[in-house]
Amino acid sequence: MRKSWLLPLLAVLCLALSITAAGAQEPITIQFWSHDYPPREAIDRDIIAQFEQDNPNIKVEYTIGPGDDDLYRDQLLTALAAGEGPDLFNVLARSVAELVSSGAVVPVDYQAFGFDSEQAFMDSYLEGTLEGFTGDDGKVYAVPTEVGNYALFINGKLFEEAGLDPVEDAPKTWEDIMELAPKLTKKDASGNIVQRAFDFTYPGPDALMSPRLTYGAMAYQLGGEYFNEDKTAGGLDHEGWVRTLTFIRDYAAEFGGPSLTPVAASFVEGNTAMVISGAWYMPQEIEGKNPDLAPFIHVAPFPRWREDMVNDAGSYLFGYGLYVNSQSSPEEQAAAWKLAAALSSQPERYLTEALLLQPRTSVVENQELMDSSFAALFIADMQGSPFTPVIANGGELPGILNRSMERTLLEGMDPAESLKIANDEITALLQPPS
Amino acid sequence: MTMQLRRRWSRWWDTFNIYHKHSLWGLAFVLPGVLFFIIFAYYPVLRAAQLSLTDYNLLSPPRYIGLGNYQFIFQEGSRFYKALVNTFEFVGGYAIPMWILALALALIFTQDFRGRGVYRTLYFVPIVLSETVISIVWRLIYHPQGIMNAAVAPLTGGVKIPWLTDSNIAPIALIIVAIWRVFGYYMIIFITGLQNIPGEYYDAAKVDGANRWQVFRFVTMPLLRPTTVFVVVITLLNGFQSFVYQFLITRGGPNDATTTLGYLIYEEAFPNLNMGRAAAISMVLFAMLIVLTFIQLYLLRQRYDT
Repeated sequence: MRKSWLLPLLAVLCLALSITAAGAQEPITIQFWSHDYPPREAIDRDIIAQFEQDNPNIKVEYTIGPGDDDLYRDQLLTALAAGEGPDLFNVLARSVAELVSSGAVVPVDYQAFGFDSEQAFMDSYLEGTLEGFTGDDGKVYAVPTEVGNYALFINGKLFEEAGLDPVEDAPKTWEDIMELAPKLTKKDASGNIVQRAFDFTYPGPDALMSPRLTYGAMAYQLGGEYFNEDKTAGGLDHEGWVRTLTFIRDYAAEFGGPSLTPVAASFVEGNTAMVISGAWYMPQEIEGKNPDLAPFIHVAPFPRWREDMVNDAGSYLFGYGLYVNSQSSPEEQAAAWKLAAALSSQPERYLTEALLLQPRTSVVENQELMDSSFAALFIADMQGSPFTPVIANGGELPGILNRSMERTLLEGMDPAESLKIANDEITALLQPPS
Repeated sequence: MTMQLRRRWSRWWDTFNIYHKHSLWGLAFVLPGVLFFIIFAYYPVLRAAQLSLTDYNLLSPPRYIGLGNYQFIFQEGSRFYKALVNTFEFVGGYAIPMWILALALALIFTQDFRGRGVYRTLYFVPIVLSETVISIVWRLIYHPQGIMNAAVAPLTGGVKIPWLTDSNIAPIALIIVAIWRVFGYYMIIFITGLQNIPGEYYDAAKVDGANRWQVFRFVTMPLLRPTTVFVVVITLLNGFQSFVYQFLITRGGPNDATTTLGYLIYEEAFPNLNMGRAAAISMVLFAMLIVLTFIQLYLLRQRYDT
C-alpha cells in the first residue's frame, strides 16, 4: 500500500526539481548589432520579442549601427579590438576574411539550427550562397541574413516619354545601353545634362551602391579577375578590365560622368532613366523616398556583353551574415547562435516585407512566393555569379578600384595605365609586410 | 635611540617644510593636469611610435616589422607623397589668404563707423557652428543645382562647375570652406592685438610725418608681431591636421585630390586596417608639427630678445 503512493511522489519531486533547475538557469544578456536597414528592423524586433518570450533566461540588447557600411565596420572592429564587441553581429560578407584570419569569430554551430551535420546545414541553403561566409579552412562562419546582387532598374515613364517600351526595349547588353543613351539623355541650352540615360555607380561620399559590384562584374564577364589564381599578384592587367574601363570612360565622356548627386538619388528624383542596384533599393529608396515613381519601375537582368563573354554571370554577389564573437563566453555563444537560428527561421517574411533574400532552398522552392516576389528576377540572375573576391587585408581593395576609375574618368589617364597602377597596388597588398 | 630618531625626523621635517612645502603644494595642484597629459597626450604618442614599427590590423596582435611601414610610405609612388603635397597646398591655400583677409578686416573694424558691431558679429558667427554642420551645408551649396553655381552662372554662361567632383577644383572648394569658417575668429584676435598697441606710437609716427603705409609697416606690424605669430602657428597647426572637411565633404576624393595626411591616417587606420602604417604617417606628421613649434619658439624668443 505504502509503495503505491511512494513512486508517484518521487516522480513529482523529480519534476519539481527539474523545473526549479531550469528556472534557476543563469540569466544571460546578449548584445546584437546590425547595420541600419529600416525595412528589416521591424521584423528583427518582432522575432527578438518572441525569442525572449520563448527563452526567458535570455535578454537581447539590439543595437542598430550606421547604414554606411564603412562606418558600421569601423565601429564594429574597434569594439571587437577593445574586447567590447557584441556577441552576435551582422556585417558584410567581405569582412569574413579579416574576421576569420584574426580569430575574431567562431564557426557556425549548425546544431543550434536543428541540423545533425554541417553538410545538412549547408544543403538547406542555395548552392554557392554560403561561399561568401566561408573561411580558408572550409568552415562556414556566418549565416546569411541577406544575399543579393544587382539588376537594371528602369524608369518606365522616362522610357515612354522617349518613345521606348520599358519591357521590349530594355537593354540586354552594355552596348544596348550605349545605343539607347542618345534617346534618353536631355541637355539644357547651356549643354548641362538635365536627364541622364544611365549612370554607372561612381565612387563618392554618398554612393549607396558599391562601384565594385558592377565594374568588377563587367570585367569578370570578360574573364578579368581581381587576383591571379594563387592570389600572389593582381589580375587587373587582363584585357577584360581594360575593355570595361574603356567602355565606362567612353560612355561617361558622351553621356555624363561622376556627379555630386549619386545615381541612387538622381534615379529616385526621376532624373536618370536606368540604374544598376539591388532589390533592397525598391523599398528603401524608391518606395521610401518617391512612392509615386514605384508603379513605373521595371527591372531587367544585369546586362551582359554582346560578344566575347567568358563568364555568363550577373553582378558580383554581396551579402550580410550573422557572426558570433569568439571572445564571448560559451553560454553567450550558444545563446547567440540560438538567436541567429530564430532570425533565420522566417526567410519568407524577410523576402516579402523587406525584399531580403535569406537564401534557404525552401524559399526558392516556394513557387507561389517566387511568382509574386519582386526579387525573383534578382534571384534567377544570381546563377553563376560569385561573391566579390576578398583577402584578409583587403580593406584597401575598394579604394584601389575606385581610384583606377577616377584616374581615367576625371584625369583622362589611359585605362591600361590606370589599371596597371591599381594592379601594382593589389600585388603589393598580396605581399606580406616585411 | 628612539628619541634620537624622532629628533632627527623632526629636524628633517622642519627643514623640508621650509624649503619644499610650497613646491609640494604646487605639485599637488598641477598633478591632475600632468596626469591628464600623460594619459591622453604623451602615452598615445609613445604608443603610436611603438605601433608604427608593427604590422597591426586591429584584430590580431601587433607584429614587429621594424621600419617596414616607414619604407612603405616613403617608397616611390606612395599615396603618402600625394597626401603630403595636398596637405601643403591646403595649408598654403587656406592659411595665407586667411591671414590677409582677417588682418584687413581687423584694420577696417578698428575704425569707427556705423554698424561695425553687427558686421563683426556676422563675420564671427561661422566659428560657432560645428564643422560637421558646415560640411553638410557647404555640400548643398556646392551641389550642381546649389547657390554656388547659381552665383557664378553669369560668369560661366550657365555651365555648371563640378565643385566637388573635379580633382582640380575640389581642393579649392575645401579651402574656401575652411577660410569661411575661421576668418572671423582670427579677425577678432587681430582686433584685440591692434587695440593693445599704445596710441602714443601712432602719434609719434604722425609727428615724424609717416604716411599710412609707413605707419602700418613700421608701427602696426612690428607691434602686432606676438599676435601674428600666434595666429600663424595656430592656423598652420590646424591646417596640417585638417580632416573633417576632407572626410565629410569629399572623402578624400576625387582620386585622392583632397586626401590630406589627416585623412590618409584615418583611411589607413580604419577602412584599410593598417594601424601600423597609420601610426607611421602620424609620427611623420608629429615630427613636422614639432619642427613648426620650434620655429614658433624661435620667432617668439627673437621677439623678446630684441
